[in-house]
Amino acid sequence: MNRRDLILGSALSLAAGAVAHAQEDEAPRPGGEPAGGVLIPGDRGDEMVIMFTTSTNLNDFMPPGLTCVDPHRAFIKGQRKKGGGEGSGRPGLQIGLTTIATTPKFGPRHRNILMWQSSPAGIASTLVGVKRWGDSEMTHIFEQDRKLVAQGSPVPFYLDVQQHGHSLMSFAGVLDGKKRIESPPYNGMYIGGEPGADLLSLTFDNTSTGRQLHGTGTLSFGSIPVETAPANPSKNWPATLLKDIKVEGCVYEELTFTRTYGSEFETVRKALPYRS
Amino acid sequence: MNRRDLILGGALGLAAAGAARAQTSRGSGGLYVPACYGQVTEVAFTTSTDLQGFMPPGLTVLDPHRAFLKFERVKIRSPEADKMTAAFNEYDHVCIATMATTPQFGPRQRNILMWEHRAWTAGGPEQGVQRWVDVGFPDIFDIDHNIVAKGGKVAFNAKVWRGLNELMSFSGAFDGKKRVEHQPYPGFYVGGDPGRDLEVWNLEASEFSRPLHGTGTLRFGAVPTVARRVAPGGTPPGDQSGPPGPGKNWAATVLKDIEVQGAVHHDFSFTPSRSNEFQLVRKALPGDGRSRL
Repeated sequence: MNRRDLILGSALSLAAGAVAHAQEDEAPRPGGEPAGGVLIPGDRGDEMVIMFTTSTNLNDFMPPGLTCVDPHRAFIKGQRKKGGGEGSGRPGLQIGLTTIATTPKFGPRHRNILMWQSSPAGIASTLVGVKRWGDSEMTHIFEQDRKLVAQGSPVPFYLDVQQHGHSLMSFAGVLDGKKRIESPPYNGMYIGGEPGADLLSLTFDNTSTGRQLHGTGTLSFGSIPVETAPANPSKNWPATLLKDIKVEGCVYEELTFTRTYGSEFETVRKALPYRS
Repeated sequence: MNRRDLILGGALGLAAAGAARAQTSRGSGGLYVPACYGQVTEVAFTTSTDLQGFMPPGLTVLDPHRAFLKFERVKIRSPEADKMTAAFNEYDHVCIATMATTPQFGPRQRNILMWEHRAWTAGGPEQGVQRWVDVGFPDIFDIDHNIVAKGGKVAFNAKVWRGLNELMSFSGAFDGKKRVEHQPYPGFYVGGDPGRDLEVWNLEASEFSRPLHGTGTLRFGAVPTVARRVAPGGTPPGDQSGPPGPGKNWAATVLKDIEVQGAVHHDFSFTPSRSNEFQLVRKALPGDGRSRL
C-alpha cells in the first residue's frame, strides 16, 4: 500500500490513483508528466482560502519539531477537487484548518491542524488523528459568478461544516473582487508527528493556483460534545479552542497539484512513543 | 405561493421566489443576474418504449422514442436565497425529459421523472414525478475544458441510487467530439397529472455556453417492490411497479433498449418569465394528485 494514497484518501485515493495513472498513460509515470501531449494533474478543482487571526497560540497544535511561522495566523482551505479516477459520487469536500509551519531543513509548508472530510473515504488514513468526518456544504462558483463579480456584482459565499446538528464551522461572506490577502503558497505539507507517527515533509510537483476571486466574511467555530481535549497535535480538541477569530479576507481559486513520486515523503524526525 | 419556486425548489424556492424576479435584470449596480445558473450535462438516448405513455392527456411527445437525461447543478439567486447557505440555495437533480408539444404552445421540454438530491426540492406540485434520492455526478472545472481542448478526455460518471438500489448509472467521458445537438430550452410543460392543471412554464431568458461533447453508456435500475399492507386504494411506500404514466409509481427500467446518442455539457442559466410565467393548457382532470412516493 502506498503512503500517499493512505494519507490523501485511503481506499478512494487508491482507486483514483490507479485510474489517474491509467488515464495519463498505460504505464505508471511520475505525476504531472505529460501523457499524449495532455497534462492531467493528480488533483484538480477549486478551493476557498479564508485567512484569519486568533489569539490562541497555534504552536500548541504543533508536534515536537515543528514550529508555526506565525502562531496567531491560520486559514481555512475548503477544497472541492477530483483526481484522475473521478468516481461517480457527489464530489467530496475537504475542509482544512491550516497554518504555515516550518523546520530548519524543509522551510515553510502547510500544516493541517484539523481536516473535516465530507466523504468517509477521505478519513481512514494515517492522518486520522486530524481528520474528522463533517457534513459539509460549500457554495459552488460557476462561470456566471465570475462574470458577475467582474461586473461589480458581489456573489454570496457560504462554507458550513456540521455533525449531527452541531455546527463545527460556519463561514458567511461575499466574493466582491477586492483583494485583501495573498493566497498562501502551496508548496508542500508537514504531516504526521503526533505520538506514534513519524513527522514527514510532503512535497508537491506542478502545483498551480489561478483565477482568484477575492472577498471577505465572518467565520465562527463550534463543537460536538465529545470534543473536550486541550490543544494537541492530533485529536479530540474542538475548533472552539481558537479564540478571537478575525477574518482578514478570503480568496476563491482554482487549484491543481500533482504529488512528487519517489521522493514524496522525507523524514523530519522519527515517531515519538505513542500514548493513548 | 409561487409555482415556479415550488417546481424549482420546494420550500427554499418559496422564499427565493418573489425576490428572484425583483433581482432579475437588476442585480447589484443594475446588472442582470439570472435567477438560476450552474452546469448541466445532457445525455441524449433512444428507447424502444413509447414515451407517449408518460404524457398526460393533452400533451403529445414529439418523438415517442427519443429522450434525454439532464444532470443539473443549479444555484438559485435572489435576495432571500442569497442569505441562505449552500444547502438551501443550491441543488442537484437528474431528470429524464423529452420534447413534447401542444397545438397552442408548441415544442417544450417535459420532465417525465426528476430525481432530486435535496429533500426540499422534491416538495413541489411536480411531486408526482419528483423523487428524493442520492445523486452523484462530478463537477466540471475550467481545467477540464482545457484538457478536452488539448485532446484529452475527462470522465463523467454519474449515479442515482436509493439505499442499496441503483436507479441510474451513466459512465462516460467528454472527448470534444460532437455527436448530438444541444436540446432546445424554450420552456416546459408542467403538471397535468390527475388533480393538476396542465400548464406551460415560460422562461424569460436562458443561456447555454462552453459546450463539452462526449458519450457514454447508460442503464436504469429500480427499487424492489416490498409486499406491505396498505390502506384501501393505496400503494406501498416506494412502490415503483406501476406502468408508464404521467405521474408516479413507475421505475425507469420501463424504458427499454436504451441507446445513448451522445452527451453535451454546458454552463447554463435561466430566468423564469416575469409577466406570464404560467399559462394554462387545460384544467385539471379528476384525481387528488396525492403523492404515493
